[in-house]
Amino acid sequence: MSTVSEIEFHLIGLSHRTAALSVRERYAIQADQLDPCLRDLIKSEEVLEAYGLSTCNRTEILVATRPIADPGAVIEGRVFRNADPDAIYRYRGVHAVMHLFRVAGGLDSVVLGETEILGQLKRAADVAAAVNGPGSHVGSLATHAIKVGKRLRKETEIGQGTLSVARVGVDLGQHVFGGFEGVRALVVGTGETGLLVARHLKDLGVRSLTFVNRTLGRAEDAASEIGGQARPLEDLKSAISDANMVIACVEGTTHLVGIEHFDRKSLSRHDRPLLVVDLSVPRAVDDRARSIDNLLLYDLDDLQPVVAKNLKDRHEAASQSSSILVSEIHKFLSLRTFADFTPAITELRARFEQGREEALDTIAGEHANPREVELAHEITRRLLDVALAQMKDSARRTRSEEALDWEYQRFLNDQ
Amino acid sequence: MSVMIVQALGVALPLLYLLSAILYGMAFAGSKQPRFVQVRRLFLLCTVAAHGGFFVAHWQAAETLPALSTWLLLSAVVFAMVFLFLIISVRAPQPTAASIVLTLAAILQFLASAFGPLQSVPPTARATSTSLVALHAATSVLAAASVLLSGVYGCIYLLLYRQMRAKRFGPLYQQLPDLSLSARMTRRAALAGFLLLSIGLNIGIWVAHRDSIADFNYTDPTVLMTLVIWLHFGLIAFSQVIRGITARRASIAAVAGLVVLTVALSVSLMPIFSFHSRP
Repeated sequence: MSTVSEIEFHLIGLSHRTAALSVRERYAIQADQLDPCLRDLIKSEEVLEAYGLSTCNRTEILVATRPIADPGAVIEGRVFRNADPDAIYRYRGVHAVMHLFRVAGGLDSVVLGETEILGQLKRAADVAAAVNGPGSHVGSLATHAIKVGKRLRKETEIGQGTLSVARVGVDLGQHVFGGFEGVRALVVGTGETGLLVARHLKDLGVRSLTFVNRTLGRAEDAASEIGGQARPLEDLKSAISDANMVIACVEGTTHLVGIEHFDRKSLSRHDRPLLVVDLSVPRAVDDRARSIDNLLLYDLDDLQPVVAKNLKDRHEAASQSSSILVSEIHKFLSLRTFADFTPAITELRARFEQGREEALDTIAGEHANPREVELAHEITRRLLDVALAQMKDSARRTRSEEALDWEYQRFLNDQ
Repeated sequence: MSVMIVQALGVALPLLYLLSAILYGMAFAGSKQPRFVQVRRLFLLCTVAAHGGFFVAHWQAAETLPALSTWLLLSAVVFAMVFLFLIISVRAPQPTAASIVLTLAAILQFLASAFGPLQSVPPTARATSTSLVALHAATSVLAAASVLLSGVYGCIYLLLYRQMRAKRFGPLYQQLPDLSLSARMTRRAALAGFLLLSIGLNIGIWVAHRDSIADFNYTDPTVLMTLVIWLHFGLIAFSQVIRGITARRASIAAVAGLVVLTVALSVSLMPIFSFHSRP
């Protein structure tokens, strides 16, 4: 029987880094197919436990095996059949751990630091728990990976600042209104971007949502789909007058929103500035509106630097995340080494307790004073604590953090 | 002993406020570690406690209310302002606003400590005459603290507004409280100042008439200045329902009020200008 630290992890998969979308589509595993797929894998002799992650950007299979087993052929034969070998990556042992931790941290994502991956890892861990049962090796690795992902986002700027221009535009509202509960938003244009922005605003909990479109029917469709009210283009001026926030996402029309659409008297009555975000190309809002007092107007050129800065910050955070990753890998491996001591700890505890009982019998016999018994228990517990601390220390020293750091840098260079 | 404590704290308080301002200002550098947040809050609480201790020691040394010396009055306003801010920010911590409030506190406390009589203050008959005088002093100090806070929030509003107009989305933009909150706080603090000043002013005038203070008159710089400030912050307090006074204009008015009040506090209460500080 293999000890915990002898169990080997293998990770085989493909992702946006190695395969085109058409290839990724072919090997994606649907949510309802993941469970049977993993059960099929653990039927093979080479695989003890299996875990699968399938998103639009990656399909990865992580398995736990005995020391000398090679599950590559089984996984590639059953999950990645006929795939281009260059599109597949294979990681073993500590490299598999490193890769999964990087995935959890969003360091291997298309959008650096994105947070959706944590939810996807959690769902995958739930499926794996159902397949492998509780306390599995892959389960503990997946759980630790999720913890690492959360820690990276908490302690670094990796997940900070959105990388979507539309979201940056909407998020400006946070700095004007604090929250969106009292915001009356107006979306001009119901194309793809308009609907995306409207959904985001709805998720943020805006008080009301109004759609204005050249074709009233499309505005009505958007209003019924997302929730809100539709108004014809002729009502644009009064719709702007009623709104706190205007988002223009119009295609192919210059200056649909002219300076005359902003009622200056109405603006002077507003306690908060009117926030206007123009996400249209060409611009839909007359640039002269910038000069109006109590109005804040932003177009794509204004917002693009924010996205660029957010991306730069995330790259910097990614480079700072190495120390956290290495320390977490070290912690995970130490815990696994320490788990090898479980039988020894059980034996040691039994011997200590036996010795204590024998000593008490010899010294005090049947008339043991409760205080002496308590003292004997305390001494035993403390001695055991010393022994356990030594074991933990030795587990930690099995592999040094410096060596892991070097290994991690080598891993990154091989990417 | 009390005199020594007064002297020591008189020197230490501006430094303590300055250090607090620096600790809160470090939010710009991204210091959001829970332990650091606790340390800076604890440091500020200790500073406020030290300031409270300063007044207790002063009361023991001089046996008079601090509000009857110009510079000690300023110190009391600083104390009240920081204390009010602490209460306001309990539910929603605002490190950037705190750093601005504490910087102002450090400057004003420096003036109070540098020019204030730390060893002894001539006790005046009015100082301990009645509890009404104490109420007049307390409401006036709290009112001054409120309008100072209103000015600080107005300043924060204008800072963020200018950053957003100039499309500068840097650390200042990231750290400042949102426009809506700043506008609300400007108005609320102004309202508190307006109401407290209404009480303080009326009690002061009533006491002046009751005690037949010989050199009191309505053209006294202190009375005039106070009336102007009272009206000014009354307008800011009710700006939301006054057509044409947007949050930006109310903020400009609050900042102007802050400057006027600081000058008024520092100058108009001097004995040569006003009946108020003459023994």
